[in-house]
Amino acid sequence: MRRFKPDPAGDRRLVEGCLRGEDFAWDNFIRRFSPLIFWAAQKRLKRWSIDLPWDEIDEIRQNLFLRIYEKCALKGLKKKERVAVWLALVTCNEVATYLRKNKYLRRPTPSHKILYSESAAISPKVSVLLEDALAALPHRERLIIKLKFMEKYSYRQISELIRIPIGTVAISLMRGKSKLRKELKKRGMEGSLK
Amino acid sequence: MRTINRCPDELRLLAYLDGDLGDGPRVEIEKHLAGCPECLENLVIAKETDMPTKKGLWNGLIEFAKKNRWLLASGLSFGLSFALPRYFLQFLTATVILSLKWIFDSRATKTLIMIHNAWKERDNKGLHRIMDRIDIKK
Repeated sequence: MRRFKPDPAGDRRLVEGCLRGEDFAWDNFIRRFSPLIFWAAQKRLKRWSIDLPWDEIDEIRQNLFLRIYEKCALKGLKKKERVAVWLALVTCNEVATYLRKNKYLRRPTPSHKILYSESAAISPKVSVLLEDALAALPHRERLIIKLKFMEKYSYRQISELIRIPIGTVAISLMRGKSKLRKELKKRGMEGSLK
Repeated sequence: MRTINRCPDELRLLAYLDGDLGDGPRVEIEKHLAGCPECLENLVIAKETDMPTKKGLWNGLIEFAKKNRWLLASGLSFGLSFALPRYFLQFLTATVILSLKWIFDSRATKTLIMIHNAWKERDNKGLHRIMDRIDIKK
């Protein structure tokens, strides 16, 4: 995302201008955030391995701006300088809505398949087993395992996101993994974890 | 703009990302994220947009010096031991002490010590295996 430079103070002024209904503020808003929206939409689609033509992504972008304008969604935003992050989240949801509406996406894709993508093909049965075993873990350990192995986050990134000390992340990960191993053993996958 | 009501809306996820939520709501969101791959992925994408703004050269230098203060101090002491040959040994000792301080103060070492302590409590079997990535063989 090279074309998008973070500028919290400028974004704040821009959003306030839009809310006051200043001339060209809305035009500038669209110009500033369109690359970001394209970028976020493509990221979201890539994670679902769905390829949408350019004009459909553009349609999503236009719908998004229209909805924000009509619903005065910017008013609800307390921290105006965080508009870029908020827009990325809104874009992801807008893409999901579009895909569901147009039947591209029937059910949530099991994203955990990334977890074992490196160990060649995994049967759906194993995938279900693993998800089942993960569900038996406490939520924080499950979240940390997912961030570490699916998102390839570092300990520091995890500790920044969840806001816990880095040592706690390491220990939770250890505990989570050993619990996961026990759960998998219980489900008859003994020796399957390296 | 959410279609599934169970999922937290964007403003709430943003508040989570910024640490603006109390302990209760934070745990609620974490529970949801642990079970909802879609929301977790959205959050990860949003986090990527959240790049730090550029720092000035001076601020960057000050931050670097603060981070590596023990290393810089031991380097300085090492240099001084040559500059003032009369106190060569004294400065060399100071260098050793300061660099040890640097090593044990670093985040990586602290993490290693914590992991070691956590693992001393349980059986040592499989310690090396635990460090590896989770891998499934069928």
